[in-house]
Amino acid sequence: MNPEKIRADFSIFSEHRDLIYMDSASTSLTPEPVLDAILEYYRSYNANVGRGVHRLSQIASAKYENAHSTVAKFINAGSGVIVFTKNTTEGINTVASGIKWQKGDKIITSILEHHSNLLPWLRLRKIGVEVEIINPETNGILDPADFEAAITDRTKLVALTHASNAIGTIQPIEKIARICKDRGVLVLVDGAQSVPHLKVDVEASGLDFLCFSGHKMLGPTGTGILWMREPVIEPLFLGGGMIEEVTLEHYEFAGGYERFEGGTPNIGGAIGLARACEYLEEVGMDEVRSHEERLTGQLIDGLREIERVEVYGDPDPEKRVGTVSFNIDGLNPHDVAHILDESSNIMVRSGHHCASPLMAYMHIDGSVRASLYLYNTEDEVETLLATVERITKVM
Amino acid sequence: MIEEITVIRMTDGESSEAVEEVVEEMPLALYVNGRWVQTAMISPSMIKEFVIGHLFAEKVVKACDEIESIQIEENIAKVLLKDPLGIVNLKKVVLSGCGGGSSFLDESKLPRINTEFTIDWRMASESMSRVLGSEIHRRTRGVHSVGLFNKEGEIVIADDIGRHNALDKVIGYAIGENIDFKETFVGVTGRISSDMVLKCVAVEIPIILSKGAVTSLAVEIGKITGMTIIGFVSQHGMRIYTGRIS
Repeated sequence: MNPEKIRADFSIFSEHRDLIYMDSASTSLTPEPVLDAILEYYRSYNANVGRGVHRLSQIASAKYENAHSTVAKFINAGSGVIVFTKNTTEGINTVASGIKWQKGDKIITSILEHHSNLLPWLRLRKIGVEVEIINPETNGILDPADFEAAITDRTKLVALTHASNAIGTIQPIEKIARICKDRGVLVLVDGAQSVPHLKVDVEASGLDFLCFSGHKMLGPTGTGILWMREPVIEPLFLGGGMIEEVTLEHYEFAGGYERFEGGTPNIGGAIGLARACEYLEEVGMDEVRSHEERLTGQLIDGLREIERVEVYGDPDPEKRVGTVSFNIDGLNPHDVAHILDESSNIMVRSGHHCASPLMAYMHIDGSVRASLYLYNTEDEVETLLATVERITKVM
Repeated sequence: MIEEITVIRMTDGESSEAVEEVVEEMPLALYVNGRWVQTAMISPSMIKEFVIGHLFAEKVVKACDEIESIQIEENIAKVLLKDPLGIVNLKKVVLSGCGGGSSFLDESKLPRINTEFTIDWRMASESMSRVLGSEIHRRTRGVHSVGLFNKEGEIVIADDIGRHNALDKVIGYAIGENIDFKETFVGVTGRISSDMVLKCVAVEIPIILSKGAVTSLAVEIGKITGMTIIGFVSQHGMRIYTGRIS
């Protein structure tokens, strides 16, 4: 993989010559081929999908349908349903709202979760659903045995993240999914932080639901995916485009993804997300992964050598994605993030990372989070390390 | 491909009810980039192969990467090209009345067959027997069959109510399998007319043979392009109209 060649596809680096973008876990940058695909839709065949017989609608419909197949191929979804959503949050909420819960049902999730994969389940406590929270080992990785022990006859769903958005650790989803399958429990995985960075195979992993966002994987904002092995849930949105027939007395939902995509979808966004999948495949997900592993190792090793710096989560790059959280003793993470921008044009995230319960569990108020992607370089990591070291010396 | 229907059979003036096998026929409307291009009457098998083969044989596309997707929905095939605004403006010249086959090839721009590939008479004869042995052909007597072969033997045999369609199907299949047409030949059950030859020329199949007759225009095109055309192939002999066998 040639990072310089890849960086040439991202115009933002021409607009901001000194930009060091390390906030891809929040949202990634967008390469020109993805922008071209989105603009081509608006410029050349702008039309609604599935509703018209005219040729522009036919082209847009075919492109939109192909976008589903492209994303399916990206996660090796040979079967099941690919639903375009607004983001991961919408995907998880669609499942949380779509399952027919009964009082006494149980959900198991973890303290590592982003609020998006926590609040939709916690709200179900109001209707009598039990929600059990599993804590990770000290390295920030969940133990499948804890899930095995927590599952009861009333457990309906296990919902967990594949990679922590706050500390980057990769979770053993395959092992947990196998336990769930043996016990007849559905498993939902939040892939927002994993699908962009490593090859996720829904068939091999044995998942039932996978949710992820387009904007974290070189696609546009406002795009996400909910993949379901079986469309066993009720649709969240009812309206146009998702019905087979409607009378005042009766309505019947359409099959396939249409059932879950009520209303005009984000057509250009979906086409852009599909192009992002193709772009990542052209680069090669194995290449992306090994590049990020190398940079992550460099970053963590460097940070751990700096006095007063604490890095969270397992330090082994093979057990995490390139999302690295750290703190400098005595300094507020927001101040550190601000200085990194002001002094070295480095964009990082700071705060609780929408994972407040995890921050409380770790007894911290927040952290600085540098998140790497395929366009980051070793020189950029060195600049970050040098800047952090300088901060520790002067403040 | 085959449907059973009840018929009244007349034998020596006596009528009786009987169940007969007939070959199925369906319309397939072909859309390219959202525009209707044509409707073909075909047999319901190898539909995607038919569409791919038809696009290549009629020179709508020259390479697989020009096609973004093909969706088959009952009686409609929707093709999206990589250039979604490209207009497929086909000059429909009806070259052969049988089955209403049409072709859009400009004869003045005919390519030349450029291969040393030849077959011997035994290979021609045996291949023809294999094509005639098609089960559906044997059971219904209502289809044409086309086989694509190379030196190793059969690549694929397709049946259809139209011989042009069957030829498109084997071409489409071979494209999917990344077969080099320059090392292949086709055997067909029907007449070798100009449009059959033109389809072969479009993808550079160098040899066509049939148990049936050959038309004068087919021979003319064969001479211009360097294609080998062999008619009336049987176990006992054949007639070589253009080209050569080894």
